[in-house]
Amino acid sequence: MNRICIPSNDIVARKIEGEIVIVPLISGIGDLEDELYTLNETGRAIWERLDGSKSLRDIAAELSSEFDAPLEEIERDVAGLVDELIKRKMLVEINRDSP
Amino acid sequence: MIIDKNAAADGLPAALTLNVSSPDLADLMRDVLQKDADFRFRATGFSMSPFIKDGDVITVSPSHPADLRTGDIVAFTQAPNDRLVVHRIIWTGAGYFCIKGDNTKPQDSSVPAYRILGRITGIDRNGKSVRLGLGPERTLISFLSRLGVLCLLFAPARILFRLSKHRYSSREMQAITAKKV
Repeated sequence: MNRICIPSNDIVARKIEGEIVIVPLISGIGDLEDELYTLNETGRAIWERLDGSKSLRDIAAELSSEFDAPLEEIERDVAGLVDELIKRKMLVEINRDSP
Repeated sequence: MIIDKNAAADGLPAALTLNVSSPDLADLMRDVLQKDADFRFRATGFSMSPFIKDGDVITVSPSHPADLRTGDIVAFTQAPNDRLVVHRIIWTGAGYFCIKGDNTKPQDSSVPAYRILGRITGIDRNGKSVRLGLGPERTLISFLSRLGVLCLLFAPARILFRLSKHRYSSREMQAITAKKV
């Protein structure tokens, strides 16, 4: 949970009318006819906080406070989503010490 | 934007069909092209028929305005509402382009270079690549378009478009389907 993650360079993400639309750039093409992704409400709340300054633990703590939900449960949600997005190459982990 | 939740068998939303407005689509295209990637999407309308037909999937590639030539088909945003338009360059000026749909009578007002998003480099129709209108013949097409000859040739298609205008007047949206993560 000490990891810091940011959106990958291999995607374009844009908030459109409240929905986050993620366009993977596969083989140098952003293809609206192919795989597009969007996030559920929890996913949106997590994604919007992945700005490179907060660890996953910080994000979980913020969400726990904001939604008045148990921290452990939120940490599980955050870790689960982040692992899934890393697997899909939509997020990358960055080194905490990097500038 | 209209959101249509498509429920999966287990009752959970598996995908969303998003009807994205034309300016939002232009913004998404700009973001992708700025990453030096191509952008593919489904075109709607008849203004470029028969070279680009309603429902064709077109590929837009990043392009510097200085590299654009008469005859190129470009995607650009139209003032004042930033509507996304795909038409052909019929004349180039200093820092601006005269652009016109192959199947439209009036030309678009002069389009400043900063409004050009990219150049059309591919057209797919029913799964097959179509090259007509993108090769060397594009210079002749733009010349004929400027003279208004293409308009006369394609008048039947334009009449068809007018007849179905009501159907298309509400289609300033691009439907895309996104999977839920």
